[in-house]
Amino acid sequence: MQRYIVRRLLSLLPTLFGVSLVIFVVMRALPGDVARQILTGGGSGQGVTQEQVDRLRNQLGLNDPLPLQYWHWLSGVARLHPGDSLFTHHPIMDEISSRLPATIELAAGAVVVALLIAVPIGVLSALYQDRSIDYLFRVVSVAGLSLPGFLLGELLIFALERYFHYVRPAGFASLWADPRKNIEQMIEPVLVLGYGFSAILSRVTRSAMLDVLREDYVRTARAKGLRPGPVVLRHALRNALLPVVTIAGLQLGALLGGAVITESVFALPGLGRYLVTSIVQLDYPVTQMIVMLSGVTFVLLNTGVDLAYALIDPRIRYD
Amino acid sequence: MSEQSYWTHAARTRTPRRSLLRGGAAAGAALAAAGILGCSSSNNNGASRSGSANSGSGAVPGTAGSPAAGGAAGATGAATQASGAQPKPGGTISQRTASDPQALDLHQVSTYVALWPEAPCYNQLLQIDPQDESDGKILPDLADKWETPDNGLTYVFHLHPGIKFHDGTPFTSADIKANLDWIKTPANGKPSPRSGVLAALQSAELPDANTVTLHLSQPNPSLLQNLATHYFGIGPKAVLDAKGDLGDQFTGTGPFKLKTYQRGDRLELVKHPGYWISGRPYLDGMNFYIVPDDNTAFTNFLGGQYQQFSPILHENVDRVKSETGGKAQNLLVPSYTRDVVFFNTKKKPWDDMRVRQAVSLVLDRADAISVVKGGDGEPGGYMRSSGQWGLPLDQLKQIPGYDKSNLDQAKALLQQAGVALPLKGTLLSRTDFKDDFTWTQQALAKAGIALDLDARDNAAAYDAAYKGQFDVIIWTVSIVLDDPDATFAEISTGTPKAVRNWSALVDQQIDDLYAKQTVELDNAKRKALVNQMDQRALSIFQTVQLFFHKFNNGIYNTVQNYKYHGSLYTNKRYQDVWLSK
Amino acid sequence: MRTSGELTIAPPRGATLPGLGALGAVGRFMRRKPLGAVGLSVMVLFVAIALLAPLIEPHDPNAGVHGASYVAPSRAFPLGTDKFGRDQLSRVLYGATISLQVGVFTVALGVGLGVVVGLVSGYFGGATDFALQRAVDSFQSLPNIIFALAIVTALGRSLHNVVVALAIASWPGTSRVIRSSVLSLKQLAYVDAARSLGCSDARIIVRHILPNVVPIAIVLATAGLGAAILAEASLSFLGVGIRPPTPSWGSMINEAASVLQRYPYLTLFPGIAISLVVFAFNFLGDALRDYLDPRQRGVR
Repeated sequence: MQRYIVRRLLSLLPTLFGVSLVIFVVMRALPGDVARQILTGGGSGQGVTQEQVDRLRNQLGLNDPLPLQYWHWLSGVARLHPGDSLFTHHPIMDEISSRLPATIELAAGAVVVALLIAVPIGVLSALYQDRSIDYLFRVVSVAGLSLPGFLLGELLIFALERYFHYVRPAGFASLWADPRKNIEQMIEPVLVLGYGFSAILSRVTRSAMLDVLREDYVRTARAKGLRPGPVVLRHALRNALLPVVTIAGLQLGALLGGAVITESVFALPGLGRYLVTSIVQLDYPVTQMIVMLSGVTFVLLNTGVDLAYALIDPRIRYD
Repeated sequence: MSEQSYWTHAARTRTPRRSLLRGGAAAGAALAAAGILGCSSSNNNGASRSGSANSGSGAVPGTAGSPAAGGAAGATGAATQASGAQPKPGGTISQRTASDPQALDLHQVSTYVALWPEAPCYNQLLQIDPQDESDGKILPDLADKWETPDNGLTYVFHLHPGIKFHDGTPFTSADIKANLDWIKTPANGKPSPRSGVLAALQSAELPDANTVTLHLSQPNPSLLQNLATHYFGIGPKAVLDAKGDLGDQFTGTGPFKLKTYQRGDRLELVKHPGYWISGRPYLDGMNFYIVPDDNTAFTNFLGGQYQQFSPILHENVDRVKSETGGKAQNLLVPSYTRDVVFFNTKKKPWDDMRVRQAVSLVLDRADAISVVKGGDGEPGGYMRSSGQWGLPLDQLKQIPGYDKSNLDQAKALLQQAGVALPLKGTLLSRTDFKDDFTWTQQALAKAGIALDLDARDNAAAYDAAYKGQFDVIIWTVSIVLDDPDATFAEISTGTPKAVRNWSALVDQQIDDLYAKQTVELDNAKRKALVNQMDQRALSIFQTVQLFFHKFNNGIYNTVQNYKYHGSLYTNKRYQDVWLSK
Repeated sequence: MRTSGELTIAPPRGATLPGLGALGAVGRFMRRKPLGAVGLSVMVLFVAIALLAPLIEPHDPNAGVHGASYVAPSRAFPLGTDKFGRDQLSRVLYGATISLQVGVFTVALGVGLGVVVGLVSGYFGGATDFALQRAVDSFQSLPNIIFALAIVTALGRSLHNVVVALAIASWPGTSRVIRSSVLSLKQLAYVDAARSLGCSDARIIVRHILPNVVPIAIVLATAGLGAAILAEASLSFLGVGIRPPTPSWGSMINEAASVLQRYPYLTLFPGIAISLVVFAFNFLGDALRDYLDPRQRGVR
């Protein structure tokens, strides 16, 4: 087991290397000139001479050969000194860390909500398979996935204002600074995002529960007269949770990269929006750094999930 | 809403001097006579410095006799006024911007998301009268009075004494010089979108701590108006020296100072208690919430989270009153923002004027206004017809296509030009100009001009435009001021870097006229030159001008003494705005 | 994943996809799984509309009728018109074509690639597995948005590019699920038996493992189809969906959302369309999975 852990952690390196290459290449493939964008303050690209643009490009090292740029950047990242944003000249790590609270809260909250909705629905659906309650639950859970996310969010905001004259308080408050305001602000986005994710989680739960319920030992227990009471349920659930945990972990990992739609609709200062902005603005170092961090988080999370896997099911062995 | 800086660095050619003496000296005299020097201790609305606009002090030549901006009756940007009510201090005005400011240095930015939060913290040498929605009337600001002893080549500004920056350091003439120098020649690698505005500025002298003398290489009638825009806010020389730019603390002399900037979330400004105009500002603070989603933001406005909101879709205008229980209203305000069609004259068949004229005849201007804007638009050439520089409507309508569309004539022209229909090509635009490009593509398709749409994000769109990767462009052009220098510098090759001449068409007549009007200090004469230039550019179909936008602005009735101007970028200091209860 | 009793581990009959072409089997399926039947019917309807749209749409979806701006649903325009006078019925019908293409191609590419990688990675293990999983990790740890934005921004907003972008975002997840399934299947008794009989790897994969992976793949595919259609809607929200004026249901909803209160029908109809299709595919997928699962044969 320990060897396995070490191996998985070591596997971070090639993964990150792969990620860094991909993102570096992808960013440079985008059309547009960041130097020109900077010099016009994000405006029209006019009022700027080609020589000014070239001068800035030289300053930023953008005219160096690509492999050299890649090396410079990578060594900076390795020392956790990714530098400053090309636009705001503010240290990138500051920019990112100021946006972490909202991102983490949204991601964690959404996954918790999703689990809270999905697991009961999935279990009940499995227990009463093909009966009306199963159908009802399945309809309700798929509903969360049947409309585009931005529409759900906008509809909720609109309905609350129109019929209850309620709008969320403005200005993001962190959980430490003002818990009440923070919770009030986070309820809507967490619910909307969580509900959307619960759809797939509930199907996975249902599917896994169904599998487990067909197991010999379960059938035996039932044949012996045990109703699907808490003992059997707990046992079955434990096994059924494996794929659920996997998927939930994947979702959490994905969300920690930022949920841009939810953040945009609910005006949360998170990493998702920041990532998209940096791509659009061609702010290379920012995009690259966020992606690298996202990669690290993701791999760590996956490793954790796989380890949890092994804990839950002793038959699963890693060697 | 489109964003774009119009500031180019037009170099003006030499022309005979004109006398500004009348204007400038009269301004100075009027100011002195009105005794507006020094801080007013009165609390009457408008009695302080900025209020006495009526004496005609500091009016820039060119504003006299201008037709009322907007022209339309009713609520055209007129501020909500509880007439006769006494301003009360207190309260905070919240607004929304769609994204973070690109930079926290006023001199480096050119978009409203940066300007709106930054402007309230600064004063300029001069200011645009908050009550004049055409942005024509210039009032004193940091300068109490000014004169030009030699017909427009020299300006002497007398600064108001005793002003301090937010950090307590005194403001002197050295600060003016440092700021203007920076704007003209910014520190290495930093953007200064307005450097071209100061192209004619040769030097600045500082006879004493309260006087600045500017020497120009040629007369520059647009200069004063430009110096009065928020982009010319003055920061401390000390900060410029230390940081190489204005820094990130919004340190100015203005009525508000920066309290918080939470990245991705909001900017909070708070009242500056030591503001040099006593009794101002009335407001305790201003908040700018960064909300990317338009629909969410509009809902928040209806819910009372912001006191003002722009722009509002035509379809949603009725909701402003009905869903706020009458607490807010919608004001329709004319603007200088216009929709323009550019042609890539380096490609066939767009180099043939008949083809471009055909396009002008195909695109029905009235239909565009009706469909794209729901009627919230008006005609114009390069300058708005209802504005002070525009071609009179009857003249405008003489040009083919500017009165009515004519599909048959257009087809005939295309045939003459030997164009086989369907004519294919690429229509380039920006993603947020959705309605404009949808309409344009459809309208052209009806005439057999079947263009593929290429709608891109900001950077990529500009990139493609400058590289000529298009056949036709449909764009929404917005400018800071109704200034012919700005609008026409784009198409005159006389200016050294005539950018946004995406049509790549050069015309000697336009160049000559531009050179003449840019130094013409007599307003009437200048207007005549501008009209000729407008007429000429329209007649060779260098571009096709579709219409000028009118914008719907929502404002709660509690906001007092705020007037919407034609420009998105003016009247943003909120010095005299107050909230009723 | 589990070594069950002999009763339930027999590979499916003939090791081929059971009777998907045979009408009899379909009939049996529909009787056994009514919800799935509904899903199947809707899917058939959807495909039919998508294929026939150019023939049945009453107007050109991209041509606005002059002066017919914002007409409410009426006889002339059953689903109303939008700002530009474009008939919404025609646009919704044409949108079906677009959505079908987006869904099918994305899933074909994404699930297809995921199955291949998952199979190879899970079956062969060792260094191959390690390398492939690192690749999967790399792609999966990149936020989805990146690919969509980058590919579409760089290459243009065509349907083709959107499909590629969405497929790249989805294949890692598929491959993981397939791989974990293969890992457990690999240990089953009959696989060992086949191997000891000297069957080649390819034969084992194709005849024994692949068929058992198919049900999962089908579920992933059907879920993925709906997800792809929704993802395109999100892309258009971000401004990088299929280029206008091509009507995808997602972009129609996106544009109509700003006038929702005033003209709700503009959002309602494409919204219903998307919901119906997503529901249908999900139920169909669930039902197919239940139906095809060998362990469930004897139950119910």
